This record gives sequence, C-alpha cells and structure tokens, in this order.
Amino acid sequence: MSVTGHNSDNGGGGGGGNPQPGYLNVQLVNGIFNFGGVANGSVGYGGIIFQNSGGTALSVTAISIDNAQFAAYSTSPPSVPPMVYPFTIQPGNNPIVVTFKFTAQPGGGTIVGNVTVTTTGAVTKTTFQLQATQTVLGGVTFALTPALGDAGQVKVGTAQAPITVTVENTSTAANLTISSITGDAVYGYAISAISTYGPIAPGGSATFNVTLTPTKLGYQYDTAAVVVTTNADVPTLNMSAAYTGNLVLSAFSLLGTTNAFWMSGTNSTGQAFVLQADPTNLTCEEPCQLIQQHDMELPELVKTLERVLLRYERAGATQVNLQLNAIRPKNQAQVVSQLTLDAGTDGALVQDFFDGSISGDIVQLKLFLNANAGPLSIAMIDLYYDPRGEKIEAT
Amino acid sequence: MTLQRFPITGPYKGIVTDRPSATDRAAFDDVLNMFCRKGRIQTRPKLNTIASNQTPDGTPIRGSYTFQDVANNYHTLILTSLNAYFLTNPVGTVVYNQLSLPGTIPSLAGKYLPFQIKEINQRVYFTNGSVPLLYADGESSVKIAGDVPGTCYYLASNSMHMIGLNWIEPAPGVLNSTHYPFRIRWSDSGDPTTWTAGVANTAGATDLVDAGGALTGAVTVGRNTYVLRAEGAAVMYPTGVGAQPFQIEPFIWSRPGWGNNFPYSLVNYAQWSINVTRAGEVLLFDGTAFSRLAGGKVKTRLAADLAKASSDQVVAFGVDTLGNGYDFESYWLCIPDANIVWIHHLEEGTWVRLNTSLGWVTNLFYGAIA
Repeated sequence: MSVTGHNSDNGGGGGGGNPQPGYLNVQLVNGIFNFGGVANGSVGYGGIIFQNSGGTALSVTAISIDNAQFAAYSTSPPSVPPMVYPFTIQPGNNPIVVTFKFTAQPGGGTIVGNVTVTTTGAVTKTTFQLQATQTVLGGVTFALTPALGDAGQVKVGTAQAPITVTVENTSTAANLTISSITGDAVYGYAISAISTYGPIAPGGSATFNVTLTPTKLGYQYDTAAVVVTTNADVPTLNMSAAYTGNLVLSAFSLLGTTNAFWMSGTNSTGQAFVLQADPTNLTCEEPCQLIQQHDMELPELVKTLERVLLRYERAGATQVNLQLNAIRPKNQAQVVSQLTLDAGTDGALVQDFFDGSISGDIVQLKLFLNANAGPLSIAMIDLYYDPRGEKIEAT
Repeated sequence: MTLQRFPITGPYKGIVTDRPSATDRAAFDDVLNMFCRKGRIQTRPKLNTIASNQTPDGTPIRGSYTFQDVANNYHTLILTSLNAYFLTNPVGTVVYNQLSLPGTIPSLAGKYLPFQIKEINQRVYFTNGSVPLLYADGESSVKIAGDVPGTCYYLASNSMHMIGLNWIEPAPGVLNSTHYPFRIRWSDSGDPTTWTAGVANTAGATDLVDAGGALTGAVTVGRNTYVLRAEGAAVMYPTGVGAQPFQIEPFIWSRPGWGNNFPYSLVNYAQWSINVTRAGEVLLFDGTAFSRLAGGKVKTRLAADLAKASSDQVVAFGVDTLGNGYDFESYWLCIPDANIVWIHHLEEGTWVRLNTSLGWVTNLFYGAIA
C-alpha cells in the first residue's frame, strides 16, 4: 500500500493522450514509518522511497514535521545532508530515498511525528506519519560531583590538596559498576583512594581523590583530566579542569613602579628606626651647618667683613643663622645674626643679606639652620668687606 | 669707602681635603646635612619616619633588595636581625609580610651582622654567617641553598657562580661546626643550590691561607673577582674550564696596608669597587687603578670617626638616587658610635656629612615599595 497525495481539484491519475502531471507516491505500509527502538541519547535513521507515479517531473518544495525529535535529513541521490529544497522526482522508475532522523530523549514511550510533503504537480500536499520507540538501556545513569574547575595559580611540581569526587548512581533501579577511573598524567592529575568499584546500589555513591601535581607552565585546560568508565547507558564521563602553572608561586608582589629611599638603623638602646627620604622636601629634620674660613685672598692683612649676602633659590620659608668668628687674630667677640629668607616657592633666584662687622686676617663663617628650619638652596655666598690693609703682626 | 666683593660660587667642593678652606673659596671645613650638588649647596631631603618608625620585630634592617622573580613579579626583600620580610604597601603605609624560614631555622638571629645579598637567576641569596645560606625566590618562604655545607660571611658572583667567603661548616649550632676564615667556595655555574663538587658540576672550594688576614669580602670588577683581606687581596679569574672554573693568584697592591679592613665598607658600585683601609683610606678601584677618595683632613677625620666604631659594624652603600628627580651618585660610609655618615659624591668628587639624632645607620635602600 502506498500513500498518495490529495488535492481537491485533481483526485487521481490522468488519462487520455495528454501527459499526466507529476504525482507523489510515498512507499509506506498504512501510511506509517516506524524507526523501531532507539536508545536514550542515540539517534535513529530511516529511509523512505519517494516516487513519481505521474507523467511529468515533480518538485518537492518542503517537508515539515510537527515533532522536533524528527527531521528530514537527506535525499539520495545525493546522500549528503542537509536537505536541499526543492528537489525533483522524475516520473517512472526514478525513486528518491528521503532519509529521516530521530533523536531519542531521556525517558521511554512511543514518539509520533506527522509529516507534510509539499509538492508541485497535480497534488500539492501529501501526509504520512513517523513513529519511534524510545528505549532505556539498562536504566543505569551516574553523576560526578563536584566539578574540578580551575585550580588557579599553582607551582609546577608541587602537589595540591586532593579534591574528593563523588560518583553517584543516579539510577532508580539498576546497580552501577565502575570499571576504571583514570587521571591525565600528562597534565599531572592522579587518582587515589577509590572507595569502591561497586556494584553501587541506586542512590548510592563511591568516592575517589584527585590530586594535581602540575606538570606544565602557563594556562592549561584539560577536557579529560579525569575519566570515569562504568556500566551505565552512557558509560564514560570526563571531568575537565584547568590550572596556571608557575615555577614559583609569587607572594607579596609589588608593581615595582613606586620606589623609595630608606635609611634605617638603631641606637645604643637597641631602638630601631626606619626613615624615608622625601626628595621634594628640602626641609631637613636635623640641624644643618656649613663652615668656612676666609682670608679674602689677602693673607696677612686685616679685613673687615661687613655683609654676607646669600643668593638662593626661593624654596619656602626658611630661617638661616650666621655666626662670624675672627680666627686670626682671636681678638673679637662672636657675631651672630639671623635671616628670614623669602618664603616664596617658585624657585626663582633671589637674595638676602646679613649685616655684621668683624675684622681679622682669617674669618670663620658658619651658616646653620635649626632642625626643620626650612629648605635652603644656595647658589652663591657673597662677602662684602673693607680691605683696611693693616698688616697683622705675627701671632 | 666702597666695600669689596668676595663671591663664593659653585661648583662647591664639599668638605676640604687637602687645602685649607681659607685658600680654596669653594671648599668648606664642614658640611653637615647639606649636599653640594649641581652647583648649589642645599639642605638635604627630609627623612620622614614611616609607619611606626619600626620594623615588626623591633630589630634594625640589616639587608634589603628589590628583585623580579621568574613569574615577573617584583618583591622587596627586607632582612632584619631576626626575620625576612617582603614589603607590600597599601596606600600611605608599609606592610612587612614575614616569610617563613626552613623548619630547622627558627630565626636569622646569631651574628647580628649586615647581610650579604646576591642575585643569580632571579633568586636572591643572602647570608651573614648565622644560618645556612638561604634564598628568596618570590614565594612566601625562604629556602636553604641546596646542599650548601654551612654558612659564610661574604658573597660575590662571577660567571654565574655564586662565590662565598669565610665559611662556617656546618652552620653555627650544628655539631662540629668549624670556622674556615680563609675558605672560598663557588657553586655550580648557574646553580647556587649545588655546592658539593662532583663530576657533573663545576662547584669547588679552596683555602687561601697566605698573608693578609682572614677574608673580608669580594667584589667582581670586569671579568675578575677581587678577594679582599684586612690587608691585601687576591684576584680570582674565570678560566672557562669546567674542572677548574677559577684561577686564584695574589693581587699586587700598590701600597702595603691597603685592604678591606672594614668588611662591610666594601661596595660594588657601577664598574667600581670602593672600600676603606685600616688607616681610613677610601679606595676606588676601577679594575686597573686605585684612586684615593679621601685625602688630608677628610681622611684624618674619617679615621677618627672609624676609631669610635665599636657597637656595630661600619657599613657602606652605593646610592644612585634619593628618589624620583633626585639623582645622587654617591658612596655612603655609615659609622656607628660616631653616628655619622660620610658621603662622597662620585660625580662631583665632594665629601659631606649626614647624621640623624635617632642613632647610627645600618642599612640604606632604594627600591620598590609599591
């Protein structure tokens, strides 16, 4: 028996001397194609012969099915998927085999799909039915938890803490038996402490440890870090895992972009100290001093130093002290004075002066700052003196 | 009458060496906490206390070094008398992260000397004669340098060999620990964790038991390593022969008595070595000739300050900079008890002095803190 098209305008084959239009003839018994049993997770294929029992070529423009588990897969010739529409069926003994595909999903039962073939020719719609029976192979399923995930930064050659994986028999009635559990040694995964190979009752579980001892540098993603093989319907499950291997596991890292000058030390009581320089701040926290002796390059002659002028870079509020001593001859009192420098901070070259009179052949000049007295950047010290010209007696 | 001018202009010469200041208008009798730099005389940069002004264990810093590990991460190693730390610094503060020591070593205590630090192959090796030679590689722990037979006081490197001098084998605290003050050991080339000589490596050792006193340091200048004693030196040069990677010969000194009398005054800076003799002579050696950096009054005052040092070690450091924008290529000689730092600016050839009222200096460091 065959399935033929139906069209209200043209109810059957043609007659007379004119060529008969194309007419689709699907070779099926009772209008049903049965895939038979297809196991969970598997795919079944079946070929159905399409013939043209008319007198002229017939074009198939579409095949639709009302159940997505079924699909028109390919035609022969050609036999390579996918389906290409339209395809032509010549009249006479020129059949086309249309292969249909069934994808079994979990669970059992009979699955039905109604097919509508759209053609040109005398009849435009032809329908038939596809059937398949989803079967459960032994009904054994299992699961692995937890996922191994990404171990992150690890040190090559150093064993990581083991991860305990549970193999759970997720079946409702059948026992699970483990045949093998393997770790991918190439990447450094090793298996230990397998609690049992089974049989494991429905709902029961076994455990094993996965230890990673990284073998490779850089990021490593392994789709089969661990492979568990059992008697389940889908017998093998792979566990994927990743890590980033390093030669050292860096700790307490710095960016290395901010530097500092440190001075550290201790004292007689054992008290340690750590100081950090601020190169932008020339206000010294300790007293500073600058000592020089002068004869104004007029040896043996008395000079009277009247003024000390400082030419300096304006760097902030500063108090500078000046102490003048007559070194030769030592016949005068010390002269001490203080100068408050221009408090500007623009770095401009400016000047201020001390006035104070001291006479002698050699005069000692001592500039000093108290702790935290302020920044000082001297470009020139200018001494103003009166070359009296008296020769100093030998002393 | 009109006053005469006597201008004193730079470049300034710092503290006088030979000529009296009265006859050299650019020189001074003393420059304390001021620097002669770039034609000016400036107060030195402020030194601020940081955090608690302390190290976590309360002991002074005896060594510091910034390096990049094999994973390209930067670390700053800080060594106190007791512990090793890596710095990290959340904004505005500094955190000392203590590194764990090998199980057999409770702390770095012992000699309380400055650490000698040397990097090879992105590992930083350090020792001060207290515990076996250790290294930091960027991890949170420090490790013993392989089969090292003990500890030494001084380190140098040449041709990828780590060179240790003045050994204690095994390390102090271990039965039969013995001091070998003339011993030089060198590791396998490129591997300072292999010290035991064998047919498969180029490690070796020898004892330099000739004149000049115990070994007090070594420095590599050019292709040679100069092994220094309190008075005298030997030169150690690579042969390129694996079975005997170094040849050691007496080094001809131009003057008797020139040696490295203050072990930690020895600095390897750029292409030079700088050290201090018993008489307070500061010698710069460039591989071919010596220069005396301190003459006249400076030498006399240096010697007087050095004579005061008794509580701690005289230490010295080569300094490039005091921070961004403040270059200062200099040699800093830090003298305890005198509590003074004599600073020689290598470009300008000047001496100045620096002090802090907090005490004497045990360590200077310029490196990464963030």
